[in-house]
Amino acid sequence: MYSTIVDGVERKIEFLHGTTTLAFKFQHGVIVAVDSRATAGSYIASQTVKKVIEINPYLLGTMAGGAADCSFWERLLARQCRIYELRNKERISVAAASKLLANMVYQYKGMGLSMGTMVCGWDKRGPGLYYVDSEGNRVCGDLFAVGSGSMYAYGVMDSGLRQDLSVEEACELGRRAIYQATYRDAYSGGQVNLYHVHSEGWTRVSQEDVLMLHQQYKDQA
Amino acid sequence: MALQDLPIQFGQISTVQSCGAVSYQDSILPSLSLPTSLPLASSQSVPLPFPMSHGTTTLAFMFQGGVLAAADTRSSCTSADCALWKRILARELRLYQLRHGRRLSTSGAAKLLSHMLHPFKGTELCVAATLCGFSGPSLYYVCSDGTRLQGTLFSVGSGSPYAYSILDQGVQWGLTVDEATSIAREAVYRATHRDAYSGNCVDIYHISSKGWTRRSREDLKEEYYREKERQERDGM
Repeated sequence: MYSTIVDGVERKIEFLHGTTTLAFKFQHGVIVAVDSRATAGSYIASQTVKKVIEINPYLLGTMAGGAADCSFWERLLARQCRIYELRNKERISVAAASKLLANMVYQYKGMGLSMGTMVCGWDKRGPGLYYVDSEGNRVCGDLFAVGSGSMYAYGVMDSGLRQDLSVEEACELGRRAIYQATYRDAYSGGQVNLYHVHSEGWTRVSQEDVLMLHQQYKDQA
Repeated sequence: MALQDLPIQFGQISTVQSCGAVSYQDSILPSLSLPTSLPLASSQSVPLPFPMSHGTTTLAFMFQGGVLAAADTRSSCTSADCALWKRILARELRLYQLRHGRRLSTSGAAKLLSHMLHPFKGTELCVAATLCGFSGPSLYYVCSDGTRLQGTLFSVGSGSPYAYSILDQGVQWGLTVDEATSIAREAVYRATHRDAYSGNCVDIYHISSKGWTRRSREDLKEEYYREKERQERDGM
């Protein structure tokens, strides 16, 4: 992040405050879906940002807030998780990984970090999903959406989510929720990146341009 | 006297929602012919001890069967201003009809409201109205900051983002009245589920060339319990 003076007001270029990321649990694991737009004020800085960080082959982290903060701390988390694995000869649980992250950022509470992330994975206890942010919140849940477009995504997810969804249906729900958010929220857009976390780890399901999805849904209707 | 008691043969096409039940009790002159309807959310001109946003969810959309409007009934703002602007608009529409011998179109009513609100631009008055009419189906959004927009789908209030995503998914021109009603109900239900300032019951109105009809008010608490049961049955 660096600052410039525009209109006499000092503006920091902060990416990713405008975003839509979501994750939900269902019977076959966790679906993680994110958009890929980064904005600096009203300028679209990029349409191809990777907002899912692959911590290790069975843990994913999403990015919302300051890009630098998210990627730095999540890479640090990846390092800590690897150290845990080497010391204890077993994989770290999602609860423990999210706790490590929460404790790391809590030390910087009030100092201006901006990070709203979801730690998603599969461990001994099954699918795991935690929301961690730079305010010190760490919450376990079945369903989260983070970012400026989150409210739009909630509407779609709430009405479509059932525990007995198949993998295809769950992926489509995540995709649709992000698409609807990008449709209404100016700060979300680009592509929809979709991941599925299951007992063998995570799989990158698809990356689809929002404009393609728009055409597809229009033709379906 | 409530609006719904007014006889339809006057061509009364009107729906009133948002800012709760209080707005129903304000009487509109029975001889009034209102081709438009307005759900209003507004705040007082006296400074409030806490910030008041449009704490509600209202929506309206056009489809082949006319216009469908829906709103929740939880009111987080006082509706004195809502009622006032409704009465003022109703009175002006009636005067127009008497002077010119014909009803004002929805577009005209929207313009009238917009011009009436203009002197208050920049003050603390806050009004956002969705006018639905059937002189040919039409839908206008009028706001106290000067916005006046025609469209086919609007949602206003703190719960509107939640409603928008459901509406964007489902609303098409070719819907039947029942399908449109269930989409509107689902949208308000999802918004009330997530938004703290929306809730209680949902009112749904259908406006067509024959006038407006109102479904009985449904308590969303029932819908929530029904959904919970459904989830339990599906093994959640």
